[in-house]
Amino acid sequence: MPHIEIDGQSIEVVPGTTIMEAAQALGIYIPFFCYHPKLSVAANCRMCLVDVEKAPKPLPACATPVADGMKVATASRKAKMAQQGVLEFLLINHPLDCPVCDQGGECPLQDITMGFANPHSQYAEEKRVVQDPNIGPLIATEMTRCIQCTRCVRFGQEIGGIMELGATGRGEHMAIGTYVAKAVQSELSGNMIDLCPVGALTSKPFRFKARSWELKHTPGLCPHCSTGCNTDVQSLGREVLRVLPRANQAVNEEWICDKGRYAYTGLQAEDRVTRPLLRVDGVWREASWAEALDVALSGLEQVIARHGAERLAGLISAQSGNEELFLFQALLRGMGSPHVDHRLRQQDFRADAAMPVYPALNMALEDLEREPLILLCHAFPRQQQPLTNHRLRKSVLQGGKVIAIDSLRQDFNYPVTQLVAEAGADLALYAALCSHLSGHAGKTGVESLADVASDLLAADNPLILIGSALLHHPQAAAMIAQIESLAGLAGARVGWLAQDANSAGAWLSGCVPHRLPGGHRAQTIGLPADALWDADMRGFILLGTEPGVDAMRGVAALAALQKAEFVLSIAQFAGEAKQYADVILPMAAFAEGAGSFINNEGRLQTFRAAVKTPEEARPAWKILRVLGDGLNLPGFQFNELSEVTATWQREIGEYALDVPPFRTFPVLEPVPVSPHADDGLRRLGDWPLFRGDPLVRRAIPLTQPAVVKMHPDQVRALALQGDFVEISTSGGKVCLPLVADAGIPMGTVWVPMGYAETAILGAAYAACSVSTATPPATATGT
Amino acid sequence: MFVNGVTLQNRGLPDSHRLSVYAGTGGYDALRRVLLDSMAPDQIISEIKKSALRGRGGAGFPTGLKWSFMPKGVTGTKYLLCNADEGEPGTCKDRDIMRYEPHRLIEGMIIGAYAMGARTGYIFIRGEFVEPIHIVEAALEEAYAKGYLGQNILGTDFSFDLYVHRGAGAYICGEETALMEALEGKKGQPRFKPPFPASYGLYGQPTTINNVETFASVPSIIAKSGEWFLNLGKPNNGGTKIFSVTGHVQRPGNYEVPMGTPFKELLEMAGGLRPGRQLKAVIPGGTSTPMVGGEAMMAVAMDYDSIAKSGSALGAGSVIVIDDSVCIVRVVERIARFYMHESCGQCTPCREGMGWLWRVMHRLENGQGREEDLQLLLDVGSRIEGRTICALADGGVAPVVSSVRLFREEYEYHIRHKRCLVDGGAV
Repeated sequence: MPHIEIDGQSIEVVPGTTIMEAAQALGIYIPFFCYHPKLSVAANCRMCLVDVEKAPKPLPACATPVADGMKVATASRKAKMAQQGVLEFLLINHPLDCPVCDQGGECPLQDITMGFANPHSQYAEEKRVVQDPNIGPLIATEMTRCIQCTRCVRFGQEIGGIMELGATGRGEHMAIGTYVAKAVQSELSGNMIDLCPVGALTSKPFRFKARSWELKHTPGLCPHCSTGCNTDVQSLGREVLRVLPRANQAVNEEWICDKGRYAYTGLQAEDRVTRPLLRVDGVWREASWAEALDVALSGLEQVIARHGAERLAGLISAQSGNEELFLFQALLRGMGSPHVDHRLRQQDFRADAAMPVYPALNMALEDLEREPLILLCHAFPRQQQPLTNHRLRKSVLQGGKVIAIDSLRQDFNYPVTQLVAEAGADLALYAALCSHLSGHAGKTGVESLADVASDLLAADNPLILIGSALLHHPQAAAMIAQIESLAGLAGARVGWLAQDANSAGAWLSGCVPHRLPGGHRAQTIGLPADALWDADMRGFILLGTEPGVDAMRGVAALAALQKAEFVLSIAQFAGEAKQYADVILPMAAFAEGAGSFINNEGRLQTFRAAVKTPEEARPAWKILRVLGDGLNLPGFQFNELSEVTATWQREIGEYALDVPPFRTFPVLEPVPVSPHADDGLRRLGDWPLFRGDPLVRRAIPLTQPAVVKMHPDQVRALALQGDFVEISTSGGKVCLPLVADAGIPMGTVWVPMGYAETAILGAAYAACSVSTATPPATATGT
Repeated sequence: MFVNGVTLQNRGLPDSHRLSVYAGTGGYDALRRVLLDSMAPDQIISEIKKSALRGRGGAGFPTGLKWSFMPKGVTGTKYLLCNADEGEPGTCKDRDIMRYEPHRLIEGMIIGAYAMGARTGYIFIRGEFVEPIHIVEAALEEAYAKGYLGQNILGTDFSFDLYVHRGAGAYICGEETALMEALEGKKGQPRFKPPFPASYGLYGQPTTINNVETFASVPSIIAKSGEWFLNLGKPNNGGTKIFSVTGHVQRPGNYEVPMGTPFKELLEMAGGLRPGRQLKAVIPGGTSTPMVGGEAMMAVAMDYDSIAKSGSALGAGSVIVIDDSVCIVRVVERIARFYMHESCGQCTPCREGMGWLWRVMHRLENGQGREEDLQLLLDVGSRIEGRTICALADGGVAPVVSSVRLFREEYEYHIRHKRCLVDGGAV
């Protein structure tokens, strides 16, 4: 192994190590701009030039591999001259507008200038001015500050997987931009802000809000998907001003997605509730906690007294912490109601008894990078779990293969073999693949299916990942059963890509109608969420959820909630709750409370409150405790969150308990997908990246309007004219802009869920019809 | 003297670009010998080594040694590239080889491909060379038709495909790794080395790249032996070399002469200076090489080692002759503008420094120079030189720094009198 000396210190390193890496191992700092350990080496900024014995010229430490016996000086006269020279060049055209630059205080150019520059520049000519392109609502540009290090360009190519920024122009006209003016679309785009070593790319929503040194940093956890990215929540006073990634190589490395980065802007939404609200004679008014709790408790007691506790149901968001999930089910079950659930998007619950203790990846996120063959079953992690998707992308870049089965062709950012089901034939596609695996398919089978089957059979213990979209399918249970046989035939392992930040915690804490905390079988099995809408429920408790847009059948949910005698909504936002609730209790939102989540791997991670709750809002666990206490239920006598956590941990025990092992599956009769309408169209739909929860839906910079997507041939076949179409289902109709997308199979129409205007259409996979329409988009019920 | 005897030997014949004319003068005989007499690849490479042929594109790297770097027994395609991006101001030799002797280039590449096991080749031609592009493309068609290119060349199991790629007008694409980036469809900018092209070249595959004149020298070396070629020139400086003589001579043009020919003789061949003029300076290898004072140049022989001793470089053999009618400051200002314009922009010192140098030169030329500017030019030059990925920046610094050193009094005159020493008029 090469033995080298840097500034008089010796180190032995593995061959291929660069001088930069060796110096970092020795704790010797060499200044740099373009170098980044997660990106390819460009060696273009020339800041890390060091003096290597016997080399005639100074060499870039980032790109020069060590050789045995090499002697390096990082601060010799030769090295210093080179470093000072480069800094002077970097600064001649830099505006030096640090006092008005958001990067000030956290700027490598500023820091390295203070540490390494010659304070006297000889430059006396005019400075360059560069026009700023508008690249969308998330990233502010100030390109005169750019030092052309190309970190952002390499990030797009190498990490984001789509090259949206590039360098155009030569010499001093080299500029970073999109070439053809457009907004940057990558779901990871915000990371380019963190990578930019100057103030050329800064956060648009954060712009001019604060100086970096004024901000308080609190370690946080991203609540927006099951990856569990670690964040650094930065606040000033009571306001969260910025969310940045916190490095955790095992989870999110050093990235976060734009949803995790910008969803905090939703905290400023107009309908944020900060005081208890009561509806009195149809009019909302603010109330004291004492009054609101009185009304809430008596409302619940009356429902139980009049109709029995089995007419009361509770629905909670799986973005809630473990402690809240645990207390929520304890409250419902304590009152005698078995109806508690968090799975608002699911339609088919027949596999409940056979589900694992929680939807687990069954492996470490890091290990995904080394999987040679992964089969995605109705999973599109690029949208659902962007940084889990990054691991899959890395596996593909390292020679692994990813195959995806879905109802539509998805826009992956790496090569994926995609098998797309014909309209409504999702289950049949899994069945067909099974026949190919067992050798029962005739020669007539689809060629790509045969290829996929032989890939699966050739692979040693491939990995199957089940996505949340599969659970939203009306034949989910039969599909899961089919995937089970598929796994058996292919000798594959099965893992789940869970939907929410704490889906695992919701299952483990007993927020499902058939299982108690720890996965114990419930004595009385309640109704799953989707069944509640038709079950004549008289009372509801909602926590952190908006069934009108969060539930698969949003309109049915709204109707059931409006029909109920009493609805208590514990919520961050009042908007939807005002349509049906009787009492709204204001709860802590993102970054305002403490707690813990279990991520997709089963990793328990905790977070602290970064800011105080606004006005009268309270952490949800405290609200649940007071409600439990007020109802005289046992087990609600807690003073500190840590006491709840301790009780929860005792109750969930060692995870897997008396639930059946995953592989014993009930035999299921597949439910036919609802029959085709006359023109044979079926509506596809799922929750897009920025529509999955109440907070992100309110993040204005992330707003994307709902559009309908259809295959261009389908558009022609239906002779649709103009930019707008009207979609009708048995639920109602809506007029939306139309986008042609060849990834949507013939016979289907993609309409997103998670929008108030599309909720009227009802569940996904239902029959629908489409006709030409004229704007504006308005929804009307039937 | 042995003039125009190797790569331009057919230039005087009518239709010298046609395969029939080339074949009539022994063209493709070397290829036949190599393939049909089963000359071993190693034998070819050792013959090239013996010839002391050095890269004619500017760097002067021994060709045989370069060819021997190509790894053997690798999987995947090995590539052979021809650098015909001839962009160095002052050079026009490759253009004439392609216009008059395209088959000599093609034959040289086929022999090279055979020697190195390359399966695919590209000739990257400067985009402005419209006429040469058409001629080379037509020559390729002829060679394919005759079975010199394509599958199973001359019935052997050796196959080689050769394509023309048209450059898009960037000087930097004459740098070999920038050329590869451009060929791959990317922004033409040099790669950091190592890895060198022999291990990681075009599309990451082993690649060898040579200049047009280098390849065009190969058929004669194979036909007549490496020793013959070596003896045309001097030890370590084998063969002949085309010098594109431009500037203040009476008969500018391409002159292929033996290595080591005295500059004096080359100047005479090009018709000498205009009557009554004195030789002021010579840029012997293209604008990226340092200037040499006129008097010193008259004592220099035209080969790699002799010119290096005079403090400059033979480069691509683009001899720019400057007489006393010209203002050096104006010449250098124009050259500095060229390098500012052609910098690819990736390395900080070049991107920022070339513009700085030009802006100072521009002020000087326009009578706004300051006393401290000359030291500034030398300082900025020293901060650029040797600190970038490729040699463009060094090439841009060379004319500035060498001219300040050689013609300091002319610069000082500009500063003091706010006008040019030569023209006599106000600027």
